[in-house]
Amino acid sequence: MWRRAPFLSRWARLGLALLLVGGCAAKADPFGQQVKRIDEISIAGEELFSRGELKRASRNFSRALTMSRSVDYIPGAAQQLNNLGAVALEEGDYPKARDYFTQAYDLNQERQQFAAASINQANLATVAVKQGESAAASQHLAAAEDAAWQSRSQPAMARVYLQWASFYLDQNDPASAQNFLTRAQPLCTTPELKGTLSHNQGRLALARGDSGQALEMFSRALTIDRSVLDRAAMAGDLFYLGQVYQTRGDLSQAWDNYVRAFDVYAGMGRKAQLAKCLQRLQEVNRQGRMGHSLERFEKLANPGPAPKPS
Amino acid sequence: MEEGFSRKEQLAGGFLLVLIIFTVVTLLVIAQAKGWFQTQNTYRIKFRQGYNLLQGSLVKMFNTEIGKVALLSITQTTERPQVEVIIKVNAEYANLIRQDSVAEVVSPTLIGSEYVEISPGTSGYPRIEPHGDIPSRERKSVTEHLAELASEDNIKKVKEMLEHLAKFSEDLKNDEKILQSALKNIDEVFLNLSEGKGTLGMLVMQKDLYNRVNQAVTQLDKFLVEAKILIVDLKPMAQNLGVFTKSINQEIEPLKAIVANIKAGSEELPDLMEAATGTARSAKDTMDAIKNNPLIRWTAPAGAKSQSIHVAPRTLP
Repeated sequence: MWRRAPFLSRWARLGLALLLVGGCAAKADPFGQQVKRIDEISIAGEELFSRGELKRASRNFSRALTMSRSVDYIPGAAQQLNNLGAVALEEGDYPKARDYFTQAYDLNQERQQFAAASINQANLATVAVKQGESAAASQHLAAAEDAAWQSRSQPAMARVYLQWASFYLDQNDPASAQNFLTRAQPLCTTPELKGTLSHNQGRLALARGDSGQALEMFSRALTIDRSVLDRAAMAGDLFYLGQVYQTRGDLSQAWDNYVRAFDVYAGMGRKAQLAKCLQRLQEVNRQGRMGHSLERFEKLANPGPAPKPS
Repeated sequence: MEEGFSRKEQLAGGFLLVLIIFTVVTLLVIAQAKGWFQTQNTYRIKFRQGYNLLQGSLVKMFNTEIGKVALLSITQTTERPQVEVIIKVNAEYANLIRQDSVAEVVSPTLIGSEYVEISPGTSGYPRIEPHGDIPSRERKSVTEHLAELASEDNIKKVKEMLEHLAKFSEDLKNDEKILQSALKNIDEVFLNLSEGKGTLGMLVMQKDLYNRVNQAVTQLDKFLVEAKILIVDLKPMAQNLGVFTKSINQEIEPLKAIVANIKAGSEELPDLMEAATGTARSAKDTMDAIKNNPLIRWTAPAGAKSQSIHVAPRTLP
């Protein structure tokens, strides 16, 4: 007969012995501990950034940067410079963002951290796109591709290809976008990359007038982005879903999706995107003669005096 | 036989008595005013001549009457006859007449008669006792003054002065041209001024500027009047402020007590915080150590990893 008590007792003793051995094997690592603390602060900053709390995120990144520099943790310093650049970019301070990204890129390039350097160049390309400098954006993307190639990192390559695709979609060049999406597809292994891939495939389908395909792709992207709680990506997916429904003439669905996109952007405090959502809501409300009240949206989008109804 | 005075006799006697008492009192008052009852010290002064002094001429010190000339006489006891003047000085000023005091006959410029001026003595010198001699200084006559003025030394000085004057006159003649040109320049300046040219000319001659300054001064006057009114209005407010401040002070007292309590409590706060931080840190270290254990690490869910943010361009159309 199986005797339960001696069996459990034996396994418990074995577990404790293993814990003891494991604990004895652990070494004191003050530098590692400090790096861990920096990572914790940086992760908290990234969480704040994704919620749109830019000031607090900036404080965390600045603190992590100071700590990284104080213990000569160069990869950490480069990472925090990049993240501070991301904050500046979201705040619309493009020269400052460019400066931070360039500093981060120089550090990463010196230490041959090519994957990180690729992200820095991709971000520089985003700055150029925001400033309407397409030629500079393509140069930065080419540099990002080089760095990603040197890093031999599949996610890094996928990230750059996806950004190329997005760039060409912005330039109304669906063929080139299709080419980069095809190259990116087998490399997208993480949920973030899969979500971005689906989103860009949706945009491509929309550009080609295939609203059914676009609807499927944006829905898929939304599911993936929600699983990783990428708020900005979710809001983008919802906005495009609204656009697809609007194109198809399903104004009720379009209204719903625009409202959802508006609420996610409002939670992140993105003023520019809120204004675009409001514009679409006004359009849909007018086209469908829905008679919805826009007061809530107008208040959030324009904290000052409310605009007169057109 | 009838004894005593009749009523009429009594009345006449009473009247006479009152008259006598009145006369005596009047005499006493006059005597007091005249200084007849004041004690006086007698001094003697010798001059070479009398200088028109008279009996009763005034004796002064600091241009104030202190006594009178009592007697004038000519003495012939010495080789040269002298005029001896006996003066009477009020006793209260006797302490001012000392060995270094000097008596001199002073003649008034136009009106009045001669008097004796005695200079006050200094405290370092002994007093001149009554009936003592006061040293005198002779008054110079006009001829003596003239003789002094026309001395050889003075004539020499005047001569030098005249020479200097002649030289100065010569120099002045040489500088005449320069002076004339300077005067001409001054003339031009004054002409410009009168025509209202230049900043100073504008300041002096332009009526508009003067009017504006006048207006400004008038406005300033008005402003001052308003300010005065305002100050009067402010007075009650200031008084109210005083009351208000007093009430605030009263309110502050309990607040002070609260702050003192908080301060006392806050002194313990750093220790408390330090202890809490230390406990939290050791707890975290323990947790880290447990997490670092390979057995735990393998089974625990993978935590989030810090990474560079890629600002994915999900641009909206």
